[in-house]
Amino acid sequence: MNQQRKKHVKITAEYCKACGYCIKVCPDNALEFERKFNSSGYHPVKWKGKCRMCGLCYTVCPDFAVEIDDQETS
Amino acid sequence: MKIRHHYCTGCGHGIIHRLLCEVIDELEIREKIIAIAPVGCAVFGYFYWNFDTAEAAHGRPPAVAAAIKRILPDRIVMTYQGDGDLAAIGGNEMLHAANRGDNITVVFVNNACYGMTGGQMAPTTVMNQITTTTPYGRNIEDGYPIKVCELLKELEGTVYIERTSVDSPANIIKSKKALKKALNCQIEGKGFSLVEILSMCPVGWRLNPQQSLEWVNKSMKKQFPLGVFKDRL
Repeated sequence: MNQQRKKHVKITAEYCKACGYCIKVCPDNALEFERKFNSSGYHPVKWKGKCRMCGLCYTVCPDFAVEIDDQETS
Repeated sequence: MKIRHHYCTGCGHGIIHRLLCEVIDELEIREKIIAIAPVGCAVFGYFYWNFDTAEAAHGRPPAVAAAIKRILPDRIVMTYQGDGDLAAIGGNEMLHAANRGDNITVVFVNNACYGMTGGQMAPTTVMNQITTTTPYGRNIEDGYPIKVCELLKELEGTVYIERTSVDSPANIIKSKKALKKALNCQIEGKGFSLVEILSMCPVGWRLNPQQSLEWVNKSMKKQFPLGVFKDRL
């Protein structure tokens, strides 16, 4: 089995305060607000699953909710 | 950083906290740095930073930092202050610490109002800005905004003064570089360094986070132009 590490955007929904900065700066429109609420009563941001991994969302997030992470895929 | 902070939606403090932590990790000074937390929105900074911090009375972090630096000269001493703390109540301490040329770093977060107490007028409030204490906009009777960078660059004790902002990814990266340069200035023993960062305060300005980004761009940058004001490194 070939194990590969693939980058993905990991969003901690509980930390998100729905400021929308990441949605504003995303060049690929890869982020959107979820319909459900988190425990603080905000609509957290959701990653749609495909983008160029530029990391601008991580750069602008004031709530430490966005991370660019490696994920193991087979 | 895996921690949930108390700042309002769209507040710039979270971004600046992260930049500081990244810079401290890159310079590998986590065991050496002592930060002084202000009174204001960032008063709970020490809950989020995993390095030594002290708390000072309102506006007094530069005086406390100068004392710590003299007792422990091998440590890196940094103050993190808002505009009410540094420019209003602590104007005297900031001015004299800069004039003495104390080898400390000051991170000055300018959000043009007293954010913690509900958005009252601060010395850095821009002209015609509506706050709870200037409901018709700041006019000449209320005085003019204090430009801290322009003020301090004239003092001979200061070494590095820069103003940046956190309203766009490009400016956030510039802010990180400025913070790194300011801390490096202290590590090399050059003298007083200050980085002013224009930050968003959507709740204090009664705007939504998106509008607050535009307001920093349109109104704040007119009054507080970005750039390096002094660089004697």
